[in-house]
Amino acid sequence: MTDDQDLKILEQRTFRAVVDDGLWDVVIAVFFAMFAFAPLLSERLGDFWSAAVFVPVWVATYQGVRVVRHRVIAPRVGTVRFGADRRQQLQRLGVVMVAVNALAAAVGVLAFIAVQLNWLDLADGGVAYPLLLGMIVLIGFSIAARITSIRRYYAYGLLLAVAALVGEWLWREGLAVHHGYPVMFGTAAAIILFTGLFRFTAIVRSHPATHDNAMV
Amino acid sequence: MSVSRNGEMDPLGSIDPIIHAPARLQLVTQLYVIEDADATFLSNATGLTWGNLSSHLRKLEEHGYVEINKGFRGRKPRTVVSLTDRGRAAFQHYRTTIQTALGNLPD
Repeated sequence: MTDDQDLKILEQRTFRAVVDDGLWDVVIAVFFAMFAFAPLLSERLGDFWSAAVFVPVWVATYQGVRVVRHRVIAPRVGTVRFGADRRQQLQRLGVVMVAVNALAAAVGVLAFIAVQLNWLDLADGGVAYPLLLGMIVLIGFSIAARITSIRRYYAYGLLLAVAALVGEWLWREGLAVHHGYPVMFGTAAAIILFTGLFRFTAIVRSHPATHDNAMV
Repeated sequence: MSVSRNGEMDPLGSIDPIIHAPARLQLVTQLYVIEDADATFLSNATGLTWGNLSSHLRKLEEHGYVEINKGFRGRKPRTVVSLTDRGRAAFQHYRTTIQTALGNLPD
C-alpha cells in the first residue's frame, strides 16, 4: 500500500465507507417520486401545485437524512474529514448537479409552455422530450457515479432514463396514463428506495453503535 | 540509508520502525489519504480494538507523527486523529525507502 494508485484506491474506499450509507438513495428516490405522483395530483391541484407540494417533502427528507446520519451512522461508522482534492471534487459535483437540475427544470418548463401555447404536441413529437430528460438524468448520474466512485449510480441513471422512454411507449400503446410516469418513475423510485434502505440496514447491523470511552 | 556488512547501501536498514509495524502502517496510510478521522472510523478501518488502537496511536503521538484531539459529540467523547507534517514526511520517506528496496530485488 505504498503506490500512488493504491493510495488513490484507499482514499476512494474510505470515501465510500463513510458516504455510501444508503441515505442518499432515499433522497434520490423521494426526489424522483415526484415524477410519479405529480401527474396524478395535477388533476386535483393543478400543474404548479402538484409539483410544488413536493418541495417541503424534499426539505423534510433531506433534514431527516441529516439527523439519521448524525445520530445513527456517525456513531457506528465514524466521521472523516477529506483532503482538499476530494472537497474540490465534491464542490464541482454540487455545481454540476445544480446545472443538470436547472437544465432539466428548464426543459420541463419549456415543454409545459410549448404545450400550453400549442407549439408542441406531446402526442406527436413527444419522444424527443423523454429522450432529452433521459439523457440529462443519465449524464447527471454518470457524473455523480464517476466523482463519488459509487457505481450503482450509473445503474440509477440508466434505470431512470429507461423509465422515461418505456413510460412514453406504454402511454402511446394505451397501457399507461400520464406518459407512463406514475408507473415507471414510481417503480424506479421504489427500487432506488429499497436499495438504499437495504444498504442502510446492512450498515447499521454490521456496525454496532460505539463510542471511544476506552481510548486513553 | 545505512550500509550493510559487505559495504553496500542497504535501504531496508533505514526503514522507520515506528511506521513499519503493521498496525501503525495501516493507521498512518489511512490517515495519509485524508485530513482527519475519529477513533470510531479508525477502529473500523483497521480492525483494531480500542485498546490496541489507543496504544498504537499513543506511540505515533510520542514520535510526533499524529495529533490527537479529544472532544465531545453531544455528551459522548470523541477522539479525532490527524497526521502531522512530520508524520506525512515520515510516511513519504517510508514509501520511498520501501520502493527503492523492493525495486533493487533481483527478478
